[in-house]
Amino acid sequence: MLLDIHHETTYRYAVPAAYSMQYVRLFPRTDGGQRILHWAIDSPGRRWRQTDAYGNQVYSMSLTETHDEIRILAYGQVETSDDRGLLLPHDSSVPPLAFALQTPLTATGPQIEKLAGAALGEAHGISVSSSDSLKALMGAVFQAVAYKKGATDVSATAAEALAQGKGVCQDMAHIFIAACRARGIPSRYVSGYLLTEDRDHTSSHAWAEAWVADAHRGNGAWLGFDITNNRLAGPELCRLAVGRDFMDAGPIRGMRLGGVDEKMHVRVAVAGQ
Amino acid sequence: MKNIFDEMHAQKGGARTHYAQYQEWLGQMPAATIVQKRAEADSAFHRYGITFAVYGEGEGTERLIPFDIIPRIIPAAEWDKMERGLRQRVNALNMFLHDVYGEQRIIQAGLIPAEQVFCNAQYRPEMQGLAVRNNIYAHIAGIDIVRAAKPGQSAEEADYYVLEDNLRVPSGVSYMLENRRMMMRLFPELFGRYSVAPVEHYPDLLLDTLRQVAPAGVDDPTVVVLTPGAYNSAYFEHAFLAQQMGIELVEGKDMFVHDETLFMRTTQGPKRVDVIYRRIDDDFLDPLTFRADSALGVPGLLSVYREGRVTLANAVGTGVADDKSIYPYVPDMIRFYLSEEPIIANVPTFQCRKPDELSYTLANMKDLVVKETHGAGGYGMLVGPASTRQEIDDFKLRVQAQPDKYIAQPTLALSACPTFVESGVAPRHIDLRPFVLSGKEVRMAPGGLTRVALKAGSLVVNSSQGGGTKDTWVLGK
Repeated sequence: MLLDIHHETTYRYAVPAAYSMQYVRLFPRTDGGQRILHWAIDSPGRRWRQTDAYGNQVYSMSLTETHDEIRILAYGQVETSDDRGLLLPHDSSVPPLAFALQTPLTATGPQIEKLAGAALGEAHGISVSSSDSLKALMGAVFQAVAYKKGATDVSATAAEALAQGKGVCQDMAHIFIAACRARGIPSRYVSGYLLTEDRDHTSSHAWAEAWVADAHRGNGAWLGFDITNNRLAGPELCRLAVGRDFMDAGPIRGMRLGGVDEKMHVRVAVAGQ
Repeated sequence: MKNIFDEMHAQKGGARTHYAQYQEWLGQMPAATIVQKRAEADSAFHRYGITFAVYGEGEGTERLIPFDIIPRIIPAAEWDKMERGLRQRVNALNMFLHDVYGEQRIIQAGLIPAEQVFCNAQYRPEMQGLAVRNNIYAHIAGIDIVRAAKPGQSAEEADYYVLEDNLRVPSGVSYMLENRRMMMRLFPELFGRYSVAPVEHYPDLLLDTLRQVAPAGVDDPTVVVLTPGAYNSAYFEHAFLAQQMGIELVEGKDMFVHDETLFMRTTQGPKRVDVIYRRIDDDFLDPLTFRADSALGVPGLLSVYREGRVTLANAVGTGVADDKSIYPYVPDMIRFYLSEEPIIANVPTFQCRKPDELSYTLANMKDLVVKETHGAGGYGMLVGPASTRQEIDDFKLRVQAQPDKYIAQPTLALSACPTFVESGVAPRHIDLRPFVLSGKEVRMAPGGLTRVALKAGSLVVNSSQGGGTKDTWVLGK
């Protein structure tokens, strides 16, 4: 499928900022069954591009002139594989095992243990799992958490969102990841774009990948779970970045000096062909 | 424990050769002079402001680390061997770090289980594939060494063992330097009788090491010391070392990243920084990579690091090599990377993650020292022989709940050195922390910091747990 993507992020400050520094992960990955036809990022200040340890393209951006606005525009066309539930080979020098360790955002708790136990059984060390039990886990998270914009903020942990019973795609991904890791299954966060007709969902999206047994490759492969939509990852998704959680893979992490009263405005449009 | 090696007195007859002159000198010293000299040392340390904040005793608790005027003396031949052992060990640890964050050969070879490394909280995926200058990660290593007899051995059979590697931000070297300065000031005549290897060039060695690992193409690097600030327990040391090296002491807020470069703010405008001797933990270095709530680091620092345009000493992620769960594998690292046998042995260690070693630990806890793999500074550990039955039972439950978080070691009869205490001179247990520097080559100041447990019978030498320090003399050949 061809996805036309236009993503504009604008920060405005009532009192101007003297300095800003940002890590921007808005360049689609070139693996995982997708191909970039063209892509561009417009942004102010100086920037340099690096591939991080997870194989993500990261732009570092610094701005030393006084500014009351930062506008970052990412746009282009990406071709995605038509298959749903594509098994992806491992793709970076960070071993899959490193994704079995919980992070502060995915720290486990009684409710997460209960979810994990019901879908995945008892803990027995580092393991791979069948995609069927992981689908059951996805279904359980989908049932346990109602999608509600604004119910959580970006610093919410998996346990907090699950206790609330509502959240956004980021929370559902974290809960799924937390439950996988609670059973020793490597699992990771994916940030990207979603082609959707549903106006309640944003097109900026997050989902999860879990390390599953792969009969063809012997050791294992990543399988994508779009928990918010309770289905395996498919052609409607464009992968931007992967990491242990939102902190590693989220689209923009930044800080500024000055720049009081920040207002962020995001506009994402994804059209399919 | 009967098999305690006394550093000064041989079990049969008199002072050991290398202490003979000292003992004679001390015997002639009037008691009043000793009292006066000790008071002089205390007041001088207070005046210089060498104190140490102690965690867990309420905010702002500062304490003077007690200084003992009886030196710990190491004969030349012993140091010679120890130095070779330290060089070997630190080389292997650096090769291990380069391997973990690179090819991972030692894991493929099956010598260390992959999950011990990659599911370790100290493993930093961010370092994977990131090139560091000269492949050195632990530029400054503090290797804790004890002399002890193993259970069943006699005191005179005691040997040196590595108790712990400290590869993150090891501290204490300022005490090594200040203790020497104090001894020379109090007892100049002793340094006429003994040929004591100097240590005061350590700051020069450190600066030279830091300059050696500057980014490629930088001929005259700007080196700074990064401190978390005046509230940190080791702030005195940060300021002291910066002053001794003649370089800037900075906090994160004094620096910023722009255009692939790290700058510090100066009165003459921004100045490029090439090497950071950082005394803050990984988690706080870059709030855009690690903990977002850190105000101690520099936003964007990791992007300059990844670009190879700044050197961090020590590198990010060295904790995966000094974690107590990795410690048991260091002898294997030495054999694997260097094809040599370890010159200084490890203390025998039981890994509670292994079922039979766990049952051994649970059955023998009253005789063992049990440590949390992520603990440091003497926190989170149980010294079996010094604990009540209730304390041991409580600790057993903790170990049973999370066995992979614990290791256990036999309670070693650490060597003792005569020390001034309230009742006079009495033997107290000691250890040694040499500071090993790795740049283009491995170098160290002879000796290190000797820590002494001031409580009778106590084996815990950590300054946070009431330990003191001594001057350490390595004798000339």
